Parts: sequence; C-alpha cells; structure tokens
Amino acid sequence: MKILPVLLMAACLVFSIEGHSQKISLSLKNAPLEKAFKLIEQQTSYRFVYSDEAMTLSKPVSVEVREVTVEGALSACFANQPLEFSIEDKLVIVKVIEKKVDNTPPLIDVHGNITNGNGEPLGGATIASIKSGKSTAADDKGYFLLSGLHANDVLEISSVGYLKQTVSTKNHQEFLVKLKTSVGILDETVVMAYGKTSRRFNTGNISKVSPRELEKQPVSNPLVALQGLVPGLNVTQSSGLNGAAVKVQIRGQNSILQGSQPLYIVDGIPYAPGNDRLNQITNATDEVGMSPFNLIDLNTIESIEILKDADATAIYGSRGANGVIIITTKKGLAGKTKLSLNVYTGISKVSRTMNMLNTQEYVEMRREGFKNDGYMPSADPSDPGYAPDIMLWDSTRYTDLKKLLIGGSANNTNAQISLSGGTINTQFLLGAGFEKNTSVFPTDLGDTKLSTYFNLNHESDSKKLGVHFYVSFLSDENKLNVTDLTSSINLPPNIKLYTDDGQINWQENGVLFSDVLFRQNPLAALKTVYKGNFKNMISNLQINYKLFENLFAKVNLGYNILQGNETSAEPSTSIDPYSGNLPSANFSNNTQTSWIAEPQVEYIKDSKYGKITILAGGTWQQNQNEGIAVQAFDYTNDALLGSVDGAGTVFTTNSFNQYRYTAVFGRINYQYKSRYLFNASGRRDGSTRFGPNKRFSNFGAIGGAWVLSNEKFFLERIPFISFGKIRGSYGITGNDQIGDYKYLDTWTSSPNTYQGVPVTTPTALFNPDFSWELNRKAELALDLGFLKDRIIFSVSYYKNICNNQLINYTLPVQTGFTSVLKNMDASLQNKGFEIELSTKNIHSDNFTWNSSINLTTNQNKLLSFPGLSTSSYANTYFIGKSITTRKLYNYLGVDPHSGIYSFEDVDKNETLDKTDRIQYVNTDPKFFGGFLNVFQLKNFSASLLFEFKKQKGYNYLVSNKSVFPPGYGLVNQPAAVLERWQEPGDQSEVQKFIAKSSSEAFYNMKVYLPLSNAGISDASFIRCKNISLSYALPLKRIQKLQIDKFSIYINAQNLFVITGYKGSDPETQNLFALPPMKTIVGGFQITF
Amino acid sequence: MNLNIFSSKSLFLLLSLSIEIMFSACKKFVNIEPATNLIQTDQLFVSDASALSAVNGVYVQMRSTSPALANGTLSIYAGLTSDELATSASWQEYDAFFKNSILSTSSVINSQLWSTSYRTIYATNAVIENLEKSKQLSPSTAQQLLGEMKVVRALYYFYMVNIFGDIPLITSTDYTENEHKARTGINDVYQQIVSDLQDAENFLSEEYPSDYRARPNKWTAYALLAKVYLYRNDWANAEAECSKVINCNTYSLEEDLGQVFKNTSNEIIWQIAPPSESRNATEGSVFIPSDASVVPVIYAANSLINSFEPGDLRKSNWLGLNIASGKEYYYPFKYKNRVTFPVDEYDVVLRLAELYLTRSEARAHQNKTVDAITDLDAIRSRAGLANTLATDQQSVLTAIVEERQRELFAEWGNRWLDLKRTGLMNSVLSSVKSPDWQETDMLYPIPFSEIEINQALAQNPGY
Repeated sequence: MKILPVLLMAACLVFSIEGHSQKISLSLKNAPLEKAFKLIEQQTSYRFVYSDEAMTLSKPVSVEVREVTVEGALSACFANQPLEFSIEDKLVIVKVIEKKVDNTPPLIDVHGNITNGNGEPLGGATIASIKSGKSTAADDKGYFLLSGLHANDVLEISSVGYLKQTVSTKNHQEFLVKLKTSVGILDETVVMAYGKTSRRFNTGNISKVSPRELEKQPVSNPLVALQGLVPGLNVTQSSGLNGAAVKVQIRGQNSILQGSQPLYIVDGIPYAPGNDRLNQITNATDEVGMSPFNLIDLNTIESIEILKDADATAIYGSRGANGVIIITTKKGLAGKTKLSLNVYTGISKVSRTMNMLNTQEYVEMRREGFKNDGYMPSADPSDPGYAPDIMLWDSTRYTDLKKLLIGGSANNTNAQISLSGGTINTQFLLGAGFEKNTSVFPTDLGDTKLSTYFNLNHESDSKKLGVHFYVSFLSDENKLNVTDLTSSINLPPNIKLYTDDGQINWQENGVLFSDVLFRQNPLAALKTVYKGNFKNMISNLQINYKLFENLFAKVNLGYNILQGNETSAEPSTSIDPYSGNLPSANFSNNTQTSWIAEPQVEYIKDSKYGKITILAGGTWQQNQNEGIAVQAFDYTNDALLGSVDGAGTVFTTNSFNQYRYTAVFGRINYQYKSRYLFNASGRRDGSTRFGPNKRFSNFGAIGGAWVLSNEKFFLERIPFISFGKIRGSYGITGNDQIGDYKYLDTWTSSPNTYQGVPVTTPTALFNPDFSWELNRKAELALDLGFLKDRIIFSVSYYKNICNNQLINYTLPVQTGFTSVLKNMDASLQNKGFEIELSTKNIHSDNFTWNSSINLTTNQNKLLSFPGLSTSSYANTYFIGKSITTRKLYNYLGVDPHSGIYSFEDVDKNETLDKTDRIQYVNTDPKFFGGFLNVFQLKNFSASLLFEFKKQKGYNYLVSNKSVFPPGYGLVNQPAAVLERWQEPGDQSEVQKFIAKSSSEAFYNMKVYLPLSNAGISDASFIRCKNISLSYALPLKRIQKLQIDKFSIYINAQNLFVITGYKGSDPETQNLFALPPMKTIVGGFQITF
Repeated sequence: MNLNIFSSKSLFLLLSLSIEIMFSACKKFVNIEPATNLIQTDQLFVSDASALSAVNGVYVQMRSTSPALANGTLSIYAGLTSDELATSASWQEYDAFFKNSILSTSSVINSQLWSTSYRTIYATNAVIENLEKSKQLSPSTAQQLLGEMKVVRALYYFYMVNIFGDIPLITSTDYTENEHKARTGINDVYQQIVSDLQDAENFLSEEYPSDYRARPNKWTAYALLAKVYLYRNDWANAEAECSKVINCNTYSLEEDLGQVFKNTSNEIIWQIAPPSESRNATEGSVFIPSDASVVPVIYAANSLINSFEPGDLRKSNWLGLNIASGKEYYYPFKYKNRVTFPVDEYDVVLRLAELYLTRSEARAHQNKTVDAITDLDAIRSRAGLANTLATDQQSVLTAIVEERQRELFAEWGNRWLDLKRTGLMNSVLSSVKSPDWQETDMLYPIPFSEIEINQALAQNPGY
C-alpha cells in the first residue's frame, strides 16, 4: 500500500513547476480538499501530488484566508486533516499522517531448506519474494535466508530441472520445500570427492545410484544391488551363499595381477576392509570368501556414487586408480518427526543349475564307459574293470542329490524402523534394522543381521558452524557349512546316504566312500558348522566452520572398527569313523581398525568473473589389522568343541599389519557463466607400503566442460536440445594395493615347532625397489538433453593406460616362491564407451513411464611388455590382446570315427604342442549393461530391471577349472553328457564314455580340452534382475488414521535368466558353487 | 579493502606454513614398525638360538604339507609306478601313477614333488647363505647348522634328479638368476650333491644335535653319500662310506622287525619328526586300511608278494593282510600307526639295513663276493631267512636286487629307483604293466605349469 504514493510521486515529477512566493486567497465552506488544491493551483505555479487514499481520508474544508503565502493557505486547509504536506520546489506532496501505532504488519525474516523429492539438498535453488522483489539462492545444503519481508508475502522457489513452487509466508517463517523433479536428473545432487556437484555442472564422470533403485532389491549386499545399474561397473557374483563375496571392477582390469579393487568410501571414510575377504576361517564360500559389504546395511544408504575418470578420482591419488565407490548414508530431514516402518518377508530358491544323471542313466554311462575301453565291470579291486559303485552297491537306488542338498527354500525377513525429524538447525535420523536370511541347505543355517544407526546434522544460528555426525553399528551372525554342499552334487546318485538304522552311512558292502569317492557323505558335511560373528562400527564427524566471508575450514574425522569372531567345528558326527580322525575346531578373532583425519580449507568466491572454489587439505590415515587364529585338533568330546582347552593339539598364530597413508591435496574449480567449467586437482601421497625411498608420489588431473546449451546461439538455433555439455579430463592416479611390509626381507615364525623348538621360515622373495604403479586416464564425454530434458543421453569415451605395472611377477617355483613383487615396464590399456539413455516415455497426470538403459563396452589390451617372450608370461599374455586372453588349441569337435575330442594339429607333426595353440580367446565381457523401466499408474508403481552381459566363459566341461571325463571314476555328470558319441559315424557334442585313465580319450579331455576353446563357450545372458510392484494407499483414506504413507509391495530378484550357456549360472560359471538365489518377497512400508 | 588484502596475504602465509608443517608431519607419519610376527633377516641370524629356529623351519617345511617328497609321496607314488604296489581306488592320481600314465598337470607332480621341494630347497639355500654371512654366531653352531642344511639340500637333489632326470640346480636365493635356469645335467647335479655331503661330513659332529636322531649328524652325511656313490656306480667309495657308518658302533639292526620304524629304533640313522609332534608317519596313515574287512586303497602287488621266500618274517611283520569278499589283500605295514596319536613313528630317511645292502652291492661289484654275502646275510638273518645260496658275482648281484625289493619296499621309492639304476626297469615293468608301460615312463613329467612359465624348461620325452 505504500507503493502507490511513491509511484504517484514519480509520475508527477514530470510536471514542470513554476511560480514563487505567490499570495493566495481562499474562501470555502465544507468543500472537498481537492477543491482547495485546485484553487491554489489556479492561483500559483504550485502543483499537488496526492493519492486517492489521501483524498478519501480527507475531511471537508472550511477556510477563509486572504493574500496569504502558499504555506499559510495550506496550513489552514490541513488543520484537522489526517493528512500532512511537504513542499519540495513547487511540488506539494500530500501524505497521510503515519499513525504512531502502525497497523501494517512488521517485516519478517524467513528461512528454510530446499530439497528434492528424495530429501537431498538443492543447492543453488532460487527463492524470490513476489511482493518485495527480493531474492536469494540456497547454499549447497539447500539452506536460504531472506530478511525484511512482509508477513504475508509469497515466495516463489525454483531450481533448474524442478517444478516451480510457491509458498505463503502468512503463517510461517521456516520452510521445508521439496521440489518435484520437473524433467530430469541433471540437477540432482551428486556426491563427489570432498564435495558435491550435479550432472549439469560436473566435469568428471560420476554415476549415481539412488535409493529408489536400491531399496526395491531384496538383497543383503549393496554391491549386488548395483548390478546392471551403472555403466562401466562390472559386478560379478561367484556364489549364491549368504554373505559370499562379489567381484567389482570399474572400467576393466587395470593391473595385470595386482589389486584391481576400487576404493570404497563410506561417508568420507575409507572402508577399512575394502572388498577384501572378510573371513579368516575357511567356510563354504571357499576361496572367494565372504564380503565385507554384507556388513553395510543397504537400507541406511542414501546414494552410491561411482567415480570413474581421472577428474573424479585423481584427488584420491594412489588409491583411486581402479575407481572410487562412495557410499553416502541417509540423513534426517527437518520438519515433523516421522516414524517409518518397513517390513518384508519372502523366500529364495536356487536359480539356474544343471540336472544330473539319475541312477539308471548313471549306471548306463558307467557300463558304456567300461565297454568302450574293453573292460567288464568287476567287483574285484585287482581287476582293471573294478566298479564298486555299480557292482557292489545297489545300482537301482536313486537320490536326487541336487534336490536333497540345495533344493530347499530359504526364508528372508527384513524389518526396518526409523525415526527422523528436527528443526532447520538440527536434524536427526535414527533407526534400527533386522534381517535374517536362511539357506537352501537342509539344515538350520542362515545369516542374521541387527543394525542401528544415528545421524545428526547441526548448524549454528549464525550459520557459521556446521556439524555432521554419523554412527552405525551392525552385528552379523552368519552360519554356513564348512564346505559348499553344491560341490557334492556329482556324487554317484546311488550312494547309500543312510545306514539301515537311519544313521549317516560311510560304506556299502565293505567299500568305503573315503577310499573310492575320496569324499564324504554329504550328510556329514551338513554336520559341520561355520559361525562368523562380525561387528562393524562406522563413525564419522564432519565439522565446517566459516572463517571469513568466502573461506571455510572443514575437518573430516572417521573411525571404523570391524571385529570378526569366527569358529568352525567338525564334530564326530561329521567325521568318517574309518578315518580315525578326531573332532577338530578353528577359532579366529580379528580386528580391523581404521581412522582418518582430513583437515581442509575451502575458498569460494562468486563474482562477475565467475565462481571459483579452491580446496586444500591433508589426509592422515591408518589401517591396522590384528588377529589371532587357533587350530584345535583331537577333541575327545563334541561337547567341548566350543572350547580351545578341550583340544588335544592346538596351533596358534597371530597376525599384525599396519598401513599408514598420508597426503596433501588440492583442487581448483572454476565456473564462468555456467558455461565454462574447469577443474584441476592434485595430490601428493605417502604410503608405508613402499620402501623408504619410494614412499612419496604425485598424482593429479585436469578436467573441463563446456555447457553448450547455456550459449545464446545454441538456444536460438537448436531449441529442441535443452541441455548440451561436452566434457573431458586427463590425469594420473595410482595403485598401492600390494599388501604391507612387502619391501622388507623377512622371515616369519610358524605355529609349528620342531621337536618343541620354535621355528622360522622365509616369508617371500625380497625386492626392496618396487614403486608406485601409475594409471593415466583420459575421458571425453557428451551429455545431451532433448525436449526439455525428457530425453537425456550421455556418451563417454575413456582410455586408461597403466604403466610401470606393479605386479606379483609370476616366477617358476624353482626360485623358491611363485612370485615376487616388482614393477614391470608393461603397459596395459582399457578403453571403451559408456552410453546412458534416460527417457520419460509417458508423462501424464495419471500415468508415467520412464526408462533408462545403459551400455558399456570395454576393451582390454596389452600394449607393450618389454621382454615378454623371455619372461614367465610368454605363454600367458600376448601383446595386443586382453590379459584374460588364452592361447588355445582349436577344438575340432568329437571325431566321428573314434568318438574322441579332437583338436587341430596345425603343424601336422602328429603331436599337439605349444605351436598348435592358435586360438586367442578372452573371457572379458564384450558389452554389458542394464535396462530399467519404471511405471506409475495412480497409486500403483512398478519397475523392471534387466541386466545383460555378452561374454564367453568356462562351460560345464571345465567347471571350476576341473575336468571330469564322463564315465571315468565314481563321478556323476550333468544330463547334457547323454548327447555322447556312441558308435562310428555319430555326430555328437560329447565324446564317448570312458573308464580308463590311460586311454587317449581320457588324455585328450584332461590335458588338451582345458587348453582348447572347447571348454570356453558363450556365457552371455539377460537376467531379470528385479521386478517390483507396489501400491500406495490413497492419502485421503489414511490421513484420518494419522498415517502419512502406507504402501504394500512385492519385489522379485533374479527371477529368470535368458541364456544359451552350457552350464549352471552364466555369472558364477561354476557347477559346483551355489548359484545366485532367486527371491520373491512381499512387504509393507508405513510412515507416521 | 585494505583489510581484505592484508588478510589474504596473511592467509597465504598461513596456508604455506601449514602445508610445510603438513609435509614434514607426513614424512614422519609413514615410518612404521614391521609386523610383530615378522623378523627381518638381518635380525634373525644374530644368535645361535634364532639361527637354529631357521634350520628347524626347514625340517618343519619338509613334513608340513602332507604328503610331500620327504613326507611319504615317494613311498606311495613311486611304489605305484613300480611293480610293488597296486590300487583299488578310482582316484585319478593313484590310478595314473599305477598305470604309468601320469599327466604333466598332475597335482602330485606339481605340488608334492616339485613345488614343495623347491620351496624347501629355497629355505635351505637361504639358511646356508645367511649362516655363511653371519659373524655373530658361534663357529661350532654355525658349522653344525651349515652341515645339516647341506645334507637336506643333497637329499632333495638326489631324489629329484632320480625321478625327473635333469633338473634346475638352484643353490642361491637370487630369483633374478634362478628364474630362467634351465635343467642342469645329471652329472652336475650329482657333483653338487657330493660336494654338499663332503662339506657336511666335515662340518657335522658325530653326536646328534637333538633327540631321536631327528637332525643329521656326521654319519648321516656318510650314509647318504654312500647311497649317492652307489647310484653313481662308484663302488669303492660307496663301500668306504658304508663301512664308516656300520663300523662306528652307533647303530645296530633291530632284532624285532616291529621296532624298526619306531622313533626309538637303533637302526635309524636319520628320521624327520612331524611338525609339533602332531602325527605319525604319513605312510602309516595312507597304507593301513581303516577297517580289517575293507579292500585297502593301496595294496601290495603280486610281484612284491611273490618275491618273499617262505618264512620271511618281513612278509608277516611288514605286510598287513585284509580279507575282503573272500580275497586276500596285503598292504605295507612297516609303520604300524594309522592314527595320529600317540606319536612314536617319525619318517625314516636312512636306516642301517640299507647300508648293509648298499655295501653288499658295492662289494659284489668289486668282486668282493664273500664280503658281499656277509652283508647280505646280515639282512637275511634278521628276516629269519637262511643264508643266501648265491655264490658268484652275478647271482649275488641278482640276490641283492631281490633282497632290496623285500627289505626296502614302500620306502622312498627305492624299488622304482633300483629298477632304473640297475637297468632292469624296462624289462621288468613291460611285462608286469602291459599294455600301459612305455619306456619314457621311467622319468616323471616336469610340471606343465612350470614349463609354461619358464621358457628354458624342456619336458621329458613322452609327455
């Protein structure tokens, strides 16, 4: 209302005004004030400025004056009026007298937080007051403050890529605004090294997986949930056992032999165990081991970012060569305190396996084998045709071992509860989770997890101090067998598992299983128990302080402790009574701790010359691993198996490793007019894994981007492209994944004694001179958005070259060891394309359909390897080929005359030797990716995720790298072998059945087949990774019950695989390891 | 504005100062102590006790993987490849050795005979190098330990050269030199063996340095050297070395055949104790069947059973008998313990009886027929047999081969090596092991994986 007089005044200013000290006479009775003004204007050159409001408020005027000054006349007129006047030049400004008690509302300050739909802060969002015209931008935490507003103003909040939203300040001074995504994901917050960015303004390659993709997947291991979602990331499961490890590779294998593990960061802290095996005691997971990521609760994860190129990773220096995976935990949100409960339950069964021969087929195979080799099956051990399994055992008994051992169904239960809320200054999130997954084995085994977590954010009133604190605790009890029962599915199907009185059987007709099978009754393996108790605590404190206007000090402090307490026991019930062995047990305690301290300063200056951000900091990090392991033998009583004291013989070993890492790092980021982006980072690293003179090294990268679409000419000429960015980067990262103390010439003590005297043995070959491996990464990428970002397309091309390979150089064992750590002047290249396409196919009010597809190709190539032909790798690695390439005999199929696998004798010299190995075959994925579709129909939503991979792999003939010639030995075979050669002229895939180890058929299969391309065949697959259906109850119905959200859902994981693979699962490629589970769960989520 | 400039200047100073401090802090930070369970080499060979721990480490290595060259493998597998043992098992490794169709990818070849042997040889070389270098040890201990290690190295090379033929001869720890080494000729390997054992003779004392004769003494070096000379057809030296041991009065043949392989046996010249006294001899656990009614996994072949003369106590004492499905199966029963506890049998490397037979053969070749017969009869009489009927050189030599077959069966592959050494292998095995036998089976294959890695290694013919 105050605006109007001002405007009027301005309007009147254009009048020219004349006259000076003129005399006036007025005679009025109950006349309007305006009349008086007109009379004065007629007599003088004075002009009046007044508002309508003033006139309506004015009272009638009765005045009688003669020859007075203007001031005099006006004073008379304004007597008793609620108005006042002032004279400036020849202008009389009339104003309403301001009352001392003002009715207009006081000015207020409003503040608040702007987030996206997932609660992630939207830094840079614009907040504009409609009435005052004031505006501001949210900081990178989404916070804003606007002062001096009317109490009933309207704020308009906008951010690129989000729908505009208005809020009234009528009853609020504190706001929590969630902006809905309007078109795309370009502006979502993306976590990067030591900071945050967005896809729009990022110069590096960072892929983000958000909880909306993660939470639908009923899996325990967050890494498994990443399969198919991230371009450039190849995650492979090698077993379906609870807690089994997964292999993770970002953009191919950079190092010939040494670690290719990415760096894992959880809320700013390097995760102590990385992706190294968790268990110290051998269990059913065998050599792959258990995954430490089974100890990170998927439900606490807000996002997982995968950092790939030099620009994104070089600031991690020596640790970033194989990419970085950043896991960020969920934070509390200000506002009403919310209680959320999410519970699901379901079942799992094994996915793809192979059917084995039944007894009738098995016996037929064995008999045919003997016949082919000219023997009669015999019950006499000294007869070459000795076949106890068909001659001395019941040859009609049949047990479907696959069904018995791994045919069960596992139960999955998962319950999560969380409480979150807070004020603008302080937000919290606390929660707890329970998860239990049983096994498909016929015993009571399973993995039970309990977790709690607490997350606190605080910002001081002055906004100078910010604190973030996170602590999570997870306890896991994983019970497994000592061996994977899947390895027993190829026992003879007529094996007598039980004695006549129902006990575990060890022999039939005087033929001991241990003597002829060299294996146990699998029921005995069921009696063995491995139990791992793991506790994982991650805590993190981040403190930010604004020192000056543009200068911030930060410190990141983290502590992670992971304790493992494992036991395994082989009770007398699991031991062959004929073996004479006594019960034994293993005990292990292991503690991994890591701490990190990273002080940083950051300078941010935004001016008309652009926005510059400078970060400088240092890192001090220590990882320590301490453990004690006890092997206890010769118990006399199963009841004592839990106690070391009950053992007759005890071997104890302890271990200690320390790793320290330190660095100084810096980064400069410059943005000019949101069009030109430049980023440079560098790091000087020191690591204790190298000898005293090799401890420090430098790493760094530069990156740049040009946001084309922010250029005027672009907007005008190509309007259908809503976003366009070209970016590129180049830099050097390193790799120090070599283990500790390797530069020292050491001996180690042994748990054994010789005649009671302690002993020491040499640890390894000694090389004091190895140094850092360097990985040069280059990337060029194009990001495009079409049709207001309804279609977003990205393509990146990268080329990484790793030089001066630090490898465990393979040596002939005649040197005493099989390897020595050294730098090889070999150069290995990974290059490829990553393509991502996200589309909003349908976007109506009631129905939306979004799709995204990603595709990665990676080509691994050994560029050079000086001295390769004389090195120990002359037959292993080949210049110009991938390092997984093997040089193999050319398989010619089964010879129709002899029925034997035949291979090409290239030089026709009648023998197969090195020169006949001419086929180069690699097992790298040719391409892989995922295809995600998300549908929303009113309250229903559905999503469908497929993962695909084109690759070659080991088929069942060389499953798990071992070869069992069909017919030979007491070994069952997959039903696929029935397609064997039987008589001359047969065209078949499988060679004839055999019985004799000195036959040519046996030799060809054992010696030549594993070295030929017969054992490697197509292992490509399309896996239905996840199907998810959910229904959210309409708000109207549930609001009465004070419920904010209620939804029910069904999630299915790994439901089917489309593949032509000759074997069990094309991912695990191992007939004798438990394949990945298929799981269906149902559950509900409720929020109060 | 002035204030701003001032503050950014001081800020810059502050920043560079803190970077300076950080750098120096970093350097200190990355100095750490080695792990508590690791000892640096230069801290190990500083006292007699810790040098001894390294020597004992070698013995533990010899028997810590089960089985291995010095831990039963030769007794089992070389027994199967010769004509003394047979198998009822369908396990491929047993089957392959029995049928003389060993694959170059065999895990027995790879791991038990090749890898573990070279690992132990490395440890032996490392100890020898450090003992020779160290100046802080008492000279007598250093000499004793050096002598012991040379005996161990000689033992490994002796068996390796006999089962594989030419082998890479490694006598240092320098991998840059050793990684490309090709197979060394048999003569050169033997030269090293002889020189090691001659050194050991000088270095070792007559007393055993530990209980149960579990570490070599001077007589051990003589005894092994005698075997080496025998294999080299150096009859005079073989006889001389044998005589030194037989005449030293430290050893005597056990009267009771059941006591010969007990660790208290006075016949034993050298035996290797199990790590931490944790188990009895590997041969016992492998050969003795788990039950009296089952077919033994490995049993005595007919050639062995038929070689015994009537009344030979060794047949009744050193062979066990199982009757399964009405058939008789004999199995090696020299070691009496199948179970691990209590430990009273170590792994016997050398015993006096073999020296009698060695000397007998050496004497026979030198036409000292009478002396040869005396030695032979010493063994026969212990076995409850009458004196040999052989009289002339040729018949005595034949009798010795037969006696060795009966006395030394299932021990360190003696039969296999004797057949080869005496040139009888092809004729004997081609009849017994037809049709699988081929002349090239006389040598085991070099592991396939090693040939792939080391370009200089060539495979034996026939593999």
